Amino acid sequence: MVGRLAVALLVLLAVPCGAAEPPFRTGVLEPPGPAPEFTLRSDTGKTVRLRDWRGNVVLLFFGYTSCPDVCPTTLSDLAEVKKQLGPAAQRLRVALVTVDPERDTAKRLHTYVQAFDPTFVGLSERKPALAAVWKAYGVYVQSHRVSGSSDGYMVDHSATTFVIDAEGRLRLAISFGTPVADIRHDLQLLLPR
Amino acid sequence: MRPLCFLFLCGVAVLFVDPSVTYGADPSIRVTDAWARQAPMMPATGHMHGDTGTGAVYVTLRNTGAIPDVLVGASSEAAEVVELHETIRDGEVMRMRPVETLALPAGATLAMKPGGLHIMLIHLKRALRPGDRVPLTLTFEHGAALTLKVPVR
Repeated sequence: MVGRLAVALLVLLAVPCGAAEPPFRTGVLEPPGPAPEFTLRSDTGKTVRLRDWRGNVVLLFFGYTSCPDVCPTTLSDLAEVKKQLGPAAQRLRVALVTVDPERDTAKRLHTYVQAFDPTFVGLSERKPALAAVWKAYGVYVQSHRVSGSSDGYMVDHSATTFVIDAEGRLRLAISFGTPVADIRHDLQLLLPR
Repeated sequence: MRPLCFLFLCGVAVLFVDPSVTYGADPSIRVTDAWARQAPMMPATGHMHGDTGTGAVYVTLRNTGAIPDVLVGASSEAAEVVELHETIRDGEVMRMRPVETLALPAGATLAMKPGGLHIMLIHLKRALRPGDRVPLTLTFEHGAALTLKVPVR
C-alpha cells in the first residue's frame, strides 16, 4: 500500500501537467460507458443477465466451438490470466458468447468452455436475440461456406475480448494476441480488492 | 533398369532413415517446433455424426536444402480431414481461409502460429489432451513425407 502510494506520488511529481502515463496496457475505451445489457442462456441452461454479474469484472469473448485457432488461443490465454491472478480471480467472470448458434448447442458450449476452465461460461440464445447482442457490442459475424474445405462453414468474427468493470461499465477492448501479462496487469487494476 | 533404379532409391532412402531423428526422415526439411492446441470432443449437432471436435497444429519448418519445396498437404489418424489454413487479421476481425499449398524456398523458415498459418484438424476422432502426442504426416512436393508425433499443450 505504502509502495503503491509512493509510486503514485512519484508519477504525480514526475508529470505535474497531468499527462500521466495511462495506467492500462490494453485497449482503453474512453469515456467508459455502461456496457450493453443482455439476457442470454448459459451452457448449463441458466438465464444470465449481465447485471447479475455486477460486482465482478466480466470478460466477454465472441467465438464458436468449431473454431480451431483464434477462439482456443484466446480462451487458453484467458485461462492462463485467471490462473496467474490467483485468489483475485474470484471476482472474475469469463464468458464465451457464441457467433454460431446453429451448431453451438448448450451441451457443445459446455464441453468446450470446460476444457479451458471450469468457471468459464458459454452463452447463447435464439438468433435474433443473440444478433442483437453482437450488434450492441459492435461484433462482426459472417458465416461462409468455403470451397475446398470440408468444414461445412466457417465464421469470420471480431476477436476482441471486452472487459466490463464491477460497476457494469465497458472499460477495455482487448485485441487478439495481446500478451497474457498485459491482460493480467489491466485486470489487476480493475478487480475489486 | 527400372527395378535396379528402384532398389538404388530404396537404399538411398534407408541411408537417410535415422531412428534417433524425432521428426521424420527428410534430410532437407527440418521441423524445429511443433505443437497442437488441446481440443475437446463435443456432442454432435446438425449434420454431424457422433461426437467430434476441431483442432489446430502449429509447426515451424525449415528448408535446409538447396532445392525449393512445397508443403502440399497433411494427414493424421486423429482427424477425418486435415487442411492447411490461414487466419487473416482484418482490423479486429479474424478471417480463416484454407490454403492449398505453402512454399518453402531453399533456406526459408515457415513458422505457423496462433492467429496465422495452422494445420486444421477437422472432425477429430478423439480429444486432444495436454500431454498427448498427435501423429501427423506432412507431404511435400519434392522431399519425402515427414511423420511427426506432435505434443498437445
